Amino acid sequence: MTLFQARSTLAVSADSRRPNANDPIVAPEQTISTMTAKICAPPLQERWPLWWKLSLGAALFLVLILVISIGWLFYAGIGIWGIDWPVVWGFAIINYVWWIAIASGGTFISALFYLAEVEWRNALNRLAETITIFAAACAAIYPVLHLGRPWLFYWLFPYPNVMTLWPQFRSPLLWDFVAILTYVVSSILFWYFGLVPDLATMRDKAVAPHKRRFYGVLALGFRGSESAWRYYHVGYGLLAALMAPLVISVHSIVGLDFAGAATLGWHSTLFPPFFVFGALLSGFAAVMLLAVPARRLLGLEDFITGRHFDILGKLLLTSSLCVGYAYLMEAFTNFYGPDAAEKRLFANKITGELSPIYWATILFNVLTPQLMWLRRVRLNEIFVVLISIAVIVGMWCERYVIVVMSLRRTHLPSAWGGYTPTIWDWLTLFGAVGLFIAGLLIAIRLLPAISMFEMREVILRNARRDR
Amino acid sequence: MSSVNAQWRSLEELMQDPDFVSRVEQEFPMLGAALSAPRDRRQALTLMAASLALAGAGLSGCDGAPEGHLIPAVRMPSGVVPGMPDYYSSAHVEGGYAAGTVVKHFMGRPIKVEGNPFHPASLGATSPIAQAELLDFYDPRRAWGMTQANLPRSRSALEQALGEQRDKLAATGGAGFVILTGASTSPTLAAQFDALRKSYPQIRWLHWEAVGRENAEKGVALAYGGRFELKPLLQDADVILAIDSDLLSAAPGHLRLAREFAARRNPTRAKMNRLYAIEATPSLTGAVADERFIAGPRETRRILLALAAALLGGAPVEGPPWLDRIVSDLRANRGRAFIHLGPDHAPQAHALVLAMNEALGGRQAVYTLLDAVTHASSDDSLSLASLVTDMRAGQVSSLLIIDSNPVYAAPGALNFAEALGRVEFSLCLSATPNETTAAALWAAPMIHPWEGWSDARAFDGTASVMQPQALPLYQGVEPYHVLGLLLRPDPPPALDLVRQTWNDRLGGAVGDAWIDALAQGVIPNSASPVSNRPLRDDAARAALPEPSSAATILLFRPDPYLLDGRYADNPWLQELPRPLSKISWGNPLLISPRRARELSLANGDVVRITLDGAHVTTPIVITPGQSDDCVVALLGFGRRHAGPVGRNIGVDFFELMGRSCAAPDIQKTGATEELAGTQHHAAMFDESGVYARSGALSQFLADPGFVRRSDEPQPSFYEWKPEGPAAWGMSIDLNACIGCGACVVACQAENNIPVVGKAEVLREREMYWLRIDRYYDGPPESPKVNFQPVLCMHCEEAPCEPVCPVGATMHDAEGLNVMVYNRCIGTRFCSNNCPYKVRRFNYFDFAGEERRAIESRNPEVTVRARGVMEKCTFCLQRIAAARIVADRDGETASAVVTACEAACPTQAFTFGDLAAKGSEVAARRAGPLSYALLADQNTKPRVTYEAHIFNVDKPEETQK
Amino acid sequence: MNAEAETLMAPNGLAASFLSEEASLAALARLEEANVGETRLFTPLAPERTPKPSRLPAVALALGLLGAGFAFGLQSYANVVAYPLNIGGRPPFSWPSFIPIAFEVSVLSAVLATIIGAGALCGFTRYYDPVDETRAIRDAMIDRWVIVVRAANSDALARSRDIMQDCDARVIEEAEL
Repeated sequence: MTLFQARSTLAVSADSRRPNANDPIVAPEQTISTMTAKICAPPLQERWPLWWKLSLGAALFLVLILVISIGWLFYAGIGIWGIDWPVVWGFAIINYVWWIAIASGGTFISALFYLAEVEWRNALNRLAETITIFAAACAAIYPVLHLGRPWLFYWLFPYPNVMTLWPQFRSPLLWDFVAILTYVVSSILFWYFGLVPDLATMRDKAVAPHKRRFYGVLALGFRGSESAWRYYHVGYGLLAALMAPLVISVHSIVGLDFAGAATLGWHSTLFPPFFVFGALLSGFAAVMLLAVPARRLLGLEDFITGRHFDILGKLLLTSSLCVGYAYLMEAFTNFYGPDAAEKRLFANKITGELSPIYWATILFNVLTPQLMWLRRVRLNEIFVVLISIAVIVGMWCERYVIVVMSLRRTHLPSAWGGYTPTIWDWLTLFGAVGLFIAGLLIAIRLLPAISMFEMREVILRNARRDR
Repeated sequence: MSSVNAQWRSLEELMQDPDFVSRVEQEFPMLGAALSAPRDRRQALTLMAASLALAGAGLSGCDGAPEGHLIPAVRMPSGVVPGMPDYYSSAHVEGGYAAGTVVKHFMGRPIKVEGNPFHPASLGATSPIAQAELLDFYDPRRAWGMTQANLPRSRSALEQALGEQRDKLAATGGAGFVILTGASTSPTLAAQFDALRKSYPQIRWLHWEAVGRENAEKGVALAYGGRFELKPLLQDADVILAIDSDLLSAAPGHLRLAREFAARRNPTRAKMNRLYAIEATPSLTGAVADERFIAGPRETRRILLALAAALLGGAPVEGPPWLDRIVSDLRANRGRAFIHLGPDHAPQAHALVLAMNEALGGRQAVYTLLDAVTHASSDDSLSLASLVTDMRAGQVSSLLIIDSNPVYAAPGALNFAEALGRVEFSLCLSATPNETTAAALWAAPMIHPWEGWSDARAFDGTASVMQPQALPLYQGVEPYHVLGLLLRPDPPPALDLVRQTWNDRLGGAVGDAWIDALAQGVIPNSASPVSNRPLRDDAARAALPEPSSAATILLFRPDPYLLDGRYADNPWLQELPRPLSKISWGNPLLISPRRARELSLANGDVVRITLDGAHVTTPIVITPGQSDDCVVALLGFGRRHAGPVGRNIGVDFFELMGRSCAAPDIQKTGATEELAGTQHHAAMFDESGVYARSGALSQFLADPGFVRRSDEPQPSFYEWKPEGPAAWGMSIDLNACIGCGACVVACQAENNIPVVGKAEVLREREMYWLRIDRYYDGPPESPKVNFQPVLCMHCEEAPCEPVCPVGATMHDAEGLNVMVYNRCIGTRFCSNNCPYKVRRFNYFDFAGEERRAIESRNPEVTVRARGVMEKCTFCLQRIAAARIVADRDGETASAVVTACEAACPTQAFTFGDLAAKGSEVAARRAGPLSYALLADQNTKPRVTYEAHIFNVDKPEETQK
Repeated sequence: MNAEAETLMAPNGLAASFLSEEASLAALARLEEANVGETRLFTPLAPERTPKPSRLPAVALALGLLGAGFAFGLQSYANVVAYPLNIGGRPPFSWPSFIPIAFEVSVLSAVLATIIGAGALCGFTRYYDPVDETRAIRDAMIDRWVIVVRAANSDALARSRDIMQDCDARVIEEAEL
C-alpha cells in the first residue's frame, strides 16, 4: 500500500472516534456508572441490528458446511482429503496448529499482563479470552477428524479396560492430547470465573424476569460481599499465574509434535520456542483484528482507545520480530548443520515449486508487521485490520510450509511426492471459521464485551490520580 | 424364463455388446458411460461384482455344464487338513514355453503361485505374470456362455455345429479349414494336430503370436537349416554382448537365465562376468549391464556388420569407437563369450550373430543347440498375412481360433476383423470375451489352464504335465474337446489324451512314475537332445535388410506385464509399476530426452502419431537412455473389448503395426494426460549413490569395503539386544536385482495387498509393501540405472514406534517390527517418522472395494480395514508356521522363506535368522559390500543391502 | 395488632449504599467502633484494602504436585509394569517422555483446585441471602458500596442509622436479616 493511499485511508476514517496517539486508557468523562450502563446496554437490548443478524446467518451457513463435510468425512473416510503417501498429514494438522495459536492470544493478554498489572489489559481481556475459547474449540475438533478411525479417539485416554491396554506415553501426540485437553478446560474455567462478577452486574441491571433469572443462575449468587471479593481476588490471581505457564507449555508441546519426530524439516530443538512465538504473533493479530469491529459496532471507543492499538501494535511488532528470528535461525541451522538431506529440503522450500508459499510466510509474518514501527499505522484501524489479516493468513502458510513441504521431500528421493488439497479440505477449513465467528457473535449478544469490574478499578484509579 | 432373460442380459453385458450399451445409455446414462469407459477403480470393481452376480444367473440357465459341481465339502477330502496348505504342481505357459509352478491351496482353493524348484525354467522362481495368474483364474468375466452371432446358444448347439464341420472336413479332406492358435509346445496338442492331418490331409494350422520369436526361429533355420532351439548357458559365459536383447526379461527360460547371470554378479561370492548391452531403448538387460551403449536401428545394423567383419573376417566396417573394446574383450574370451540378439531383429541378423557365436567358439560351452521345442505350423509358407489373404480370397471356409485374439492383436494393416467376416464358419475359444469372440460367428468360453489336463515343455524341452487345480469354476470347453469333436462325435477326455502322450515314457497310464511326474511337475529326462548340426556356410552371407531411413523410427515392444494384451484384465499386472518408467495403468510413448526437447514435449503431453493413414493419440514419457532415432510404443493396452479393468486403459498401437516403414509423423496436440507413476521425483538425482550404492570392480578390488562410510554405524543411547530365540533379518543383493517386479506381485498375492486403481495411484496412494526404487545416475541421455527393493527395514530402534500414541506398532522378541491393525487408530505419525516411507495407509476401504473373489485371498493374512496403517511383516504368517513346526520338533525356527525371496529369479533376497549358526543372511550381512540404508538415521535396520558393483575398470564409467 | 407482634415484626437491620469506597469504609469503621452488631460490606469491585493472606495457593500447589505425581506414576506403571512393550528399543522407563504429561496434569489439577476452592470460599451457588430483599443491594454490583448492618437491638439500629446519615449514605433502608 503506497503512502498516498495510506493518507487517503486515514482521511476516510477521520472522525471523532478515530484512535489517537494521546488517548487515555479510558475516556476521562467515563464514571463507573456510565461505564457499566454503556457496557451492559448491548446484551440487554431487545432487538439487535441487521449487521449482527446477517453476519450470524453467514456464520451459521459456514457451520452447516462444516457439519456436512464432517458427516461426509466420517461416512467416506479420510481419503476424501488430499493427503497421500508420503504426505500423510495435511489440512487437519495445519488448521489445528493455526487455531490453537490464534487461541493463545487471549491467555497471553489476560493472564500474563494481569500478573504484570498493566491497566490497558482490563479493556481487552474479556474479548481476548472469548476469542481463546472459541478458537481452542475449533482447534480441538481437528485432531479427531484427522484420525483414520475417529470413532476410536478415546483410546488415547488411559482408562482401565478389559484388554488391559494402555496408551503409549512416549508419543508427542499423547502429550499434545493431554495438553490441549488441559488448555481447553482451563481456558473455559478461567473465562467463566472472570465472568462471574459481571454476570452478577447483568443480573442486577436486567429488568425482564427471564433475563434476571438467566444471569442470576449464571452469576452463582455472587453479591460482591467483601469476603467473597477477597477469595475471588486470590483465586483469579492464582488462575492467571497458572494459565501463563500453561499456554507456554501447550505451544511448546505442539512444537514437540513436530520436533519429537525424526522427520526432515521437523527434527529441530528450535520448534518449541518457535511455536510459542508463532502463537504470540497470531494471538495478538487475532485480538487486534477483532478489537476494531468490537469497538466500532458495540460503541466501545471510550474503552478500547488509541492507547490499546498503540500497545497491541507494538506487541505484534515484537512477536513478529521473534518469529523472524526463528525463521532466520532455521535457515542458519540448515546452512551451518551437516545434514545434506535437511539442506536439500530447505533449498526446495525456498526455491522449489512451492517456494511462493514460503516467501508469502516471510512477507506476511515478518515484513508486513514492520509497518507497525510507524505510530500512524498502529493507530489506523484500516491498516491494523489489513496487517492482522495478513499475519493470520501468513501463519497458516507457515504451517503449510512446515507440514506439507517437509513431508513432500523425505530422505529417499524415491519417496518424494506431491500434495493437492481437495474441496473437502477447504470446506473443513472455512466451516470452522464460521464456527468461530458464530461463537463470538453469540457471546457478544449475551455477555458484556468488557470486564466491567476490572474496568471500575481502572476508572477509579484514574479518578483518584486526577484528584 | 426369467433366469434366461437374466442370462441374456448378463451375456450381452459381459460381452459389452455395443448396442446393448447404447440401449443402456438411453435408460441409465451414467451406467452406459461406466460400461463404455470405467477409468475409476470403484466403478470398475462394482461392475466386476455386478458381472459376477449376473453370471450366477447365467450359469443357472445353461445346460451341459461339465460333470461335477463346486459344493462345500461336507465330508473332508482325504489328505486335506484344515488350516494346512496343500501344494500341486502346474506350469505357467508364456509364448508356448512352460515355467514350472506350484500352486498353494487352502481347503482346496488356490491362493498363491510359487515357482517349482525341480523345473529347469523356474528353479523355484516365478515371473510377475505367473503370480498374477491367480486373479485370471478367479476372474468373474470367465462366466459367459456360448454365443452364435453374439446371441446365446447352448453347448449342445455348438457341438452340433462342430459335428457339421466334421462332416464337411470328411467331405473336403480339410481343404479351407484352418486352425489359428498361439505358439505351443504341448506334445498332446501336437499329437492331436497330427491325428487331424492323418484324417484330413488338407487341414492347416497356424501357431501365431502377436509378439513372437519367429525372427529368431527363422534365423536359426537360416544358420542351421532346420528348426532348432538355442539354449544359452550363462553360468559359464565370462563376456556377454546383448544387442536389443530380452535375455533376462522375456527370452525363453529367462528366469533361469537371470539366475545363471546373477550367480556371477557379486564379486564377494564369484568371479564376475561382464555384460555389454547395445540397445535402442532401455531394457532390463541393458539396465543391469556393466556398460550400456545406445544405438538406433540403423546404427545397430552397422555395428552388426562391423562385428561380423571383426569376428568373421572380411572387409572391415567402420563401427563406433567403443566397439573395438568390446571386440577385443570378446576375442580375449574366446569360448567363454556369448552374443545375444533380440527378437525384433531380422532373421538374417540372427543368422549372422549365430555365425559370430560359432566363430567365438562358445558352442557347447556357453550355448547349445537343441532340437526345436515349439510345435511347427502346418507349413512354413503359412503366416498370418498369407492367412488373411486366403480369407479375403475366400479360400478359408472355416476358421477355428483357439486362445488367440487376432482381431485385437493382428497388425492393424491386415484388418483381420474384416477378413474374418469373409469366413463362413468361425469359432473362437477364449477364457473371457474379447475383440475376436465378438467378431467371430461362434464364440465359446475356454477353461482356464488350471481347470483341465494338459502338458507343455520348457525352453530346454523338459516336459511338465499340467493337472487341474480345481473343478471348473465356470462352464468352459477344453480345446482338446473341440479339436476332438472334429475327429469323432465322442472325443476322449483330455486326461486320456495326455496320458496317451506319456504312456510309453512313464510306463503305463497309471503308476508311480505318473504320480511322481505330477508331484515333481516335470517328466524326467524329457529335455530335447543336444544337436550337433554344423553351421551352414552361407549363414553369414545373407544381406541384412535396410532399416527405415526415417529420422524417427517407430519401434514396437510388448508391455513387460500385459504382453500382447492378454493380461489387460489383470489388476495386479495393470497396477504393477513398469520397471524403468515406474508407470502403471497406461503405456505412454517412450521418447528420448533430446527428441522430446526438440518437439518441446514434457511427460504426459499428448501427441498424435500418423503412419500412412492410420493415427493414434498417446501421451509420451521421456525415457532416459533411449536412442534419439526412435520412439517406442508398448503393445497390449487400449483393449476395446476387455473387462472393466483393462478396457480403454492406455493406447492400442497394434493399429499402427504392419504399416510401411515411412517416417511416422508426430504432432503435439496440446492436450496432456496424467501418468499414473509411482515414483514422483524428477528422474535425475545426483546423490542417489548414497542410497543405492554402486561402484566399479576396480574400486572393490582396491578396497572391498569402499561403499561403507566411516561414520557408520553411529553410537546410540540404546543398545537393544534381541531376547527371542531368533533374530530375523534380510540381506538384499543389489548386484542380483534386475528390477523385474516378481517380488512385488508375490508380496501382493501373499499379503492380500489391495489394488487401488488408476485414480488412487494418481493420488499417490498405492499400497505396495515392497517397492523397487529406480535411481538414475549420470546424464539423462545415457544414465546408469540402479534398482533397489525397499521394504520395511524392521529397524531395531524403529522411529515409527515411539510416536504411536496407542502402541499399535511395536517390536516382538525376535526383532520384528509388528503392526497391530486392531489397535491402530490412524494418526499416521508412524509413516511420517519412517525415513524409508515403507508404510501404507488405507485411505479408503481399499480391500473391501476390491470385490475380488474372497476365496482367492490368503486366509493366513488379515485383510486390512479402512483407516489403518499397514506395512511389510517379513511374511509373519510364514514365520509363525515355521515356529509351529519348530515347536513340534523341539528346535528353533530358522528356515523361513519370504514371498519376495521365493519369487525372486536372481535370489537377490536372503532372509533368515541372524543369530543362527552359519546362517546365510548373517554371512551376507558381514560381507564387505553390505551397508544399511540411511545408516545416519541410526535406526539399526534388520535389512541391509549389498552394494552394486559394475564390472568396469574406471569408476566414472559407473557414474558413481 | 398488639405491641408484642410489632416487636416481632420490627426490622432488625439496615442497608445503606454509598457513592465511594472511602465513604463506605469510614462508615464501616465507625459502625464497628460503635459495636452496633454484625456488619457486612458489598462492593462493585474488589476492595482496595490489602486482603488477609489465604491458604488457597498452598492448597492449589499441593493438588498440583499431587496431580503431577499421579500422572507420572500412572505413565510409569502403564509402560513399565502393566503394558511393557519394546517400543523402538527404548527403555520401558523412559522418564523424560513422561514429564510433559505430568506437567499438564499438574496444571489441570491446580486449576480445578483453585476454581473449586475459590468458588466454595466465595460462596458460589449460594443463591439466596436475606440481604437480597433490600433494594440497596441491587446496586452493589453496579456502582454503589453497600453496608448491611444486623443490629443487636433496636437501640443499636437507631445508632447505626445515625452513623450512616453522618457518612452521607445515599439510601438507607431497613431490612429483616
